Amino acid sequence: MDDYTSFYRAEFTHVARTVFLIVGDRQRAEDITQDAFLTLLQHWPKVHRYERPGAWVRRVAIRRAGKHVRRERLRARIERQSEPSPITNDRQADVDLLHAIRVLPGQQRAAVVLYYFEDRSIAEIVDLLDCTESAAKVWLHRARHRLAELLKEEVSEDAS
Amino acid sequence: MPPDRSLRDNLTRVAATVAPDVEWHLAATRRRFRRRQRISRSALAAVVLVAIGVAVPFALRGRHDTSGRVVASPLTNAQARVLLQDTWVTETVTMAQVKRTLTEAGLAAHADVVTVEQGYPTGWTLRITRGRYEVRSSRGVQTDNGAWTVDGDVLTLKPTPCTCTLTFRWTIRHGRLRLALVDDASPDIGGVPDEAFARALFTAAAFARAPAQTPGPTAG
Repeated sequence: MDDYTSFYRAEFTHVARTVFLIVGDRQRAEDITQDAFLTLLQHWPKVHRYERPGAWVRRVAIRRAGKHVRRERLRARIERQSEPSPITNDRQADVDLLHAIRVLPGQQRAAVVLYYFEDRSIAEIVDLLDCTESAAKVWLHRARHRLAELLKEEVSEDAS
Repeated sequence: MPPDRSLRDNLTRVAATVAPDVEWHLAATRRRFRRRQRISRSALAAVVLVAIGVAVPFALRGRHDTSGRVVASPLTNAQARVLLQDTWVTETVTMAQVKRTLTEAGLAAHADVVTVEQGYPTGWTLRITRGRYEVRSSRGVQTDNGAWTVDGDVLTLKPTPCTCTLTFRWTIRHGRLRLALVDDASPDIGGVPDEAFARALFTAAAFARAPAQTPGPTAG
C-alpha cells in the first residue's frame, strides 16, 4: 500500500492537469481524478504489477472526463445553452485557449491534450483512448486545425 | 515560435494553474475506499441473510437429501420416492417417549392403552418399497402395512385393509426420517382414536436408515 501512496503523490497532479484540459473545470477535474485513483486503489493488488500503472489510471480518468464532456454537452443542449459556461481565469489568452478546447468534441480534446500536453506518441494515444491509429490521427488533425482557426494561428503537420 | 510549440507551451502553462492538494485528495480517497469496503461487507451480509431467509424455511419444509445438505430446488415426486424407499429403523422407543408425544397432541388419556397395544418399549422397522410399506416391531411383529404415495413433502399412507388414510409431512435430515402427522382419517379403534396409535408409531421417534438392506414387502 506504500507503493500506492508514492504513486498517488507522483501522478495525481499530472493526471488532474490532463483531465482539467479536457473538462475545462478545475474542481471537476480534481473530482474525476480522485474517482480514478479510487478505482485504482480498488484494483491496486492487480494493477501495481502492470508495467505502466500510470497508463491504467490515465485511461480511467480520461474515459471519465470524456463521459463528463458528453454529459455537459447534452445538458447544454437540453438547456438550450449555445455557449459554454464561462471560464474564470486571470489571463485572457488562457481563457481563449480553454474556450477553444471546449469547442472541440470530447475525443478530439483528449487527443490534443495527450499529444500536446502529455507529449504522448500516436501509439500511446491509441492505447489510452482505445481507438485505431487512423482515428487518433484524424481527431488530432481536426482538433489542431479547429484550434488554429479559433485562436487565429497557423498549424504545422508534424503529427500526421 | 511555431504554432504547435506555442500550443504545447500554452497548454502547459494553463495546466500548471491546477495545483491540487494531493495529501487532501489522498486522505479523501482512502476514506472513500474504507467506506466502500464497509458497504461491500454490509451488502455481503445482507445477501447472506437473504439467502438464509430463503434456505431455512425451505429446509424446515424437509427438502433435504440424505447427507443433510439442503437441496437447492424443490424435489420432484420421483426424487422424493427415491429418497423415501428404504428400510428405516428407530432406536428403542420408551413408554415415556410415547406418553410425551401423546400428551403434546392432547391425547394423554390414551397413552396407557397405546403403550400396551403396541408393546412398548420397542423399536420399529419401517420398510418402504415401491408403492408399499410395512411396520414391524423389534420383536418381528407386523403392526401396520399398506400402500403409500408422496406429493412433495406430503406422505400419505393407506393402511390395509382399511380404506382410511394417514397424512404426514416428512423430512430427511442427516439420514433421519421424521414424520409429522397432518391428518388421520381413520376410525377409532376400541374407543381410542387412531391418531393416538399413529402418533406413537410414526412420530414418537425419528427413523434412521437401516445399515443393511433386507427384503421388503412385495409391490402391488
